[in-house]
Amino acid sequence: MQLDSLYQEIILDHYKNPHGVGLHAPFDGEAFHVNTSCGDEVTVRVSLVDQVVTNMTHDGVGCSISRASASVLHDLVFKENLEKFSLALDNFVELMHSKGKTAPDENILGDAAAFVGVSQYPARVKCALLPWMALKDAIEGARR
Amino acid sequence: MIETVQFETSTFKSGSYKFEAGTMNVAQAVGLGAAADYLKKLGMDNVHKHEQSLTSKALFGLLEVPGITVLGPKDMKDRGGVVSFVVDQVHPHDVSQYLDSKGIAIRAGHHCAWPLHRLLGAQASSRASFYLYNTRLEVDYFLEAVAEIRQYFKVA
Repeated sequence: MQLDSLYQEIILDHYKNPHGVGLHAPFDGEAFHVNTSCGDEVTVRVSLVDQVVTNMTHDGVGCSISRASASVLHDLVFKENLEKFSLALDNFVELMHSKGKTAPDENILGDAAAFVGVSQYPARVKCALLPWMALKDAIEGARR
Repeated sequence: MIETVQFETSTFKSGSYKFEAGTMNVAQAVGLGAAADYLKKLGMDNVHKHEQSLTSKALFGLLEVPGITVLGPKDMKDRGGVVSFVVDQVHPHDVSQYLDSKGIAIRAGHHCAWPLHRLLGAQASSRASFYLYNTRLEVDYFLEAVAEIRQYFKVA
């Protein structure tokens, strides 16, 4: 079934057992993002030491795609250099707009590569991007 | 939009501009008339009866499905042709996506009614609407598909 390409096993696993849920404190940057078309909400917090993400947590309500995306993102950036995130962000945004025509780079994206199927459902691209954009804002806030 | 107008002939602007302002909604008005005639021929009482029969089948069917909460009244009193519901632990957009894959179109989201959803304790909801062109068989198909959702998302 084509639907299985959207809801890959990895995505449903992250949805059921999300990583990095529950906001940590103190933190350096925070962002709250809402998908106005559906009401999905996510809050992302980040702590930085030099250029390294020492912690990233999130909380919110939303569909399996947006919740799983936040969980995957936690795994990707936790204890990692900021450069890794910005490279992955560019890659992920490109993947989301590829309409299924780009193969994901698992070395750069980790579990986020499983979201490749989302790009074939334009209405769901925003769900997948929501936590990524929130983290981007949280990091910018932390550096200010 | 016209370019020049004479008694015998007129010329129009090129491309899509020819459809711009200046032409009344004639096609729409004629279409509305035809739709009204069609419904009158069927009889609005019959239309209403059919809608109520489908909606009631869906409503009482949904009440029987485990893990489904019907929002609002659980009876047919003053009910139109819609039923709103929540699938436990599955977001309405995942619900609608699953049903879409089965060829079933519903509406999902907050339906421009955030405060009401907050009152109902739901972040968003799913809504099935029935009309003249739906059948009882389709309601059965819909109920069957709804019953599969929680398993698909591994929350059942």
